[in-house]
Amino acid sequence: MQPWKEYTGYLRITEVFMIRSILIAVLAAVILSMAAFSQTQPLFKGTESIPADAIVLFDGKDLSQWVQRGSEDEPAKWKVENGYTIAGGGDIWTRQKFADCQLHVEFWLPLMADRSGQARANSGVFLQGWNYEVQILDSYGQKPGKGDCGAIYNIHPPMVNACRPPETWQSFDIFFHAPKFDEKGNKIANARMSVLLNGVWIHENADVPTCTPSASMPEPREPDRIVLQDHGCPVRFRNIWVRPLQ
Amino acid sequence: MNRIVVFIALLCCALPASAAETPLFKGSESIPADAVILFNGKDLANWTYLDGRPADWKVADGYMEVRGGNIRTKQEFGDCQIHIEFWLPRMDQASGQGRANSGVYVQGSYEIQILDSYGFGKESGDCGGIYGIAAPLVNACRPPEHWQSYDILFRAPRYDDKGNKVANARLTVLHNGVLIHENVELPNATAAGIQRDLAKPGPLMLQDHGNPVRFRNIWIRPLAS
Repeated sequence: MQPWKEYTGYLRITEVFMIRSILIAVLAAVILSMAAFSQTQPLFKGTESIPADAIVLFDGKDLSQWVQRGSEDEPAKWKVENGYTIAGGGDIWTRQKFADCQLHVEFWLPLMADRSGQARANSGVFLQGWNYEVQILDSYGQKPGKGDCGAIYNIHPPMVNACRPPETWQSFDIFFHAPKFDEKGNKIANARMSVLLNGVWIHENADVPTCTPSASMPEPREPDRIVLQDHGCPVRFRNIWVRPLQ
Repeated sequence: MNRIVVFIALLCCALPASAAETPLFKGSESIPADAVILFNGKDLANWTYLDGRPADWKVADGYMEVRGGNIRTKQEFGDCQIHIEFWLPRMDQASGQGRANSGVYVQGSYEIQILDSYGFGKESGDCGGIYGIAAPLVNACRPPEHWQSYDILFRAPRYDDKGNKVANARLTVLHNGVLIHENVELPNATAAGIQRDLAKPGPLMLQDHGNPVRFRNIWIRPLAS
């Protein structure tokens, strides 16, 4: 064996080590700077209302983040005009899936003076699939029950009736925690929700022991989509954003 | 005479019932009808210094600015929802706890820190921290010289007949609309609280930490326990 070949071989091994350590160093630097960046990236630059870590689901222009409920990619049929979308053509749900999250939704209810009860501007926001509904209804001036606006449908009436009159924009701020399961699939924590309607607290860390459409439905184990309901009433929505929570 | 007594009695019966039916909103206003407005931008009639003298913070252009010591509400509250807006001066030459420091004390006892922590810091001593007890979930600060808000949901601690605590106080807080505390238990009052008996309602206190911090639009909704 000639000496230069041994020498070249030695160099190659050194080069491999050098390249590997450079790669590791670069990778570590990138990961560290990303971690530092995510910690210090401000959520606000000035007076804007949507924090930088939010996913904007509807900005008033198009429903590209939404598809028909039950489908993977059938475009949402709801009409978009003047910065809002109007329920019509079936329920819609988000393309993305979420578990624990903070959700902001604004809605506008038509005055349906000739209707009453559940027929009066009915819609709803469902979390983690078609599973946990916060009710939308024109309940203005009513003593609120489990089916009224802001109710966690059929489970918890809102703490107070915080409705605005119909034909006025209203807001939900929802803090949702998915149910938790152990490795064997046994539920170890119920779903939980806190909700503000028009800035007023209407649910405080409410325990949600079952799905709201029916107590016998299986509860979701995985992140799932946010649903907006078309209940046959021309309810409008705008300014929808979500922040996944840890 | 009898008619008057009957009339007053009827009025007393009718008042609570009619209050329950009053909608919280008439249109698009932001303050619900069941809120007690603690500062409307005009005067400090609802506030005093801690020694009882009338509060004399500067009032201008719809805000108040710290001056001459901490102030507290005349009214006292237990469980409640609080909305408060604050504005921090830009103090480039100061750092840490010297940078636009103030605080909101719920029930006179539990401080939610106010500080210019923009762009850094999310410890319990930073803006939004429950001082010395709980760090905010995220840093949700706006830059200094911008109006910011806290929306606070507070449950006072519970005591039994013998005065033993049976449940800790709890706080949920939104900072600029972002969730920073969720149903956090508070095992004790934070530093510099003024409330001696936590079994009783307490005032809302605003801290004068020597920095020209401003406040506006302060309202509170007492909650049923």
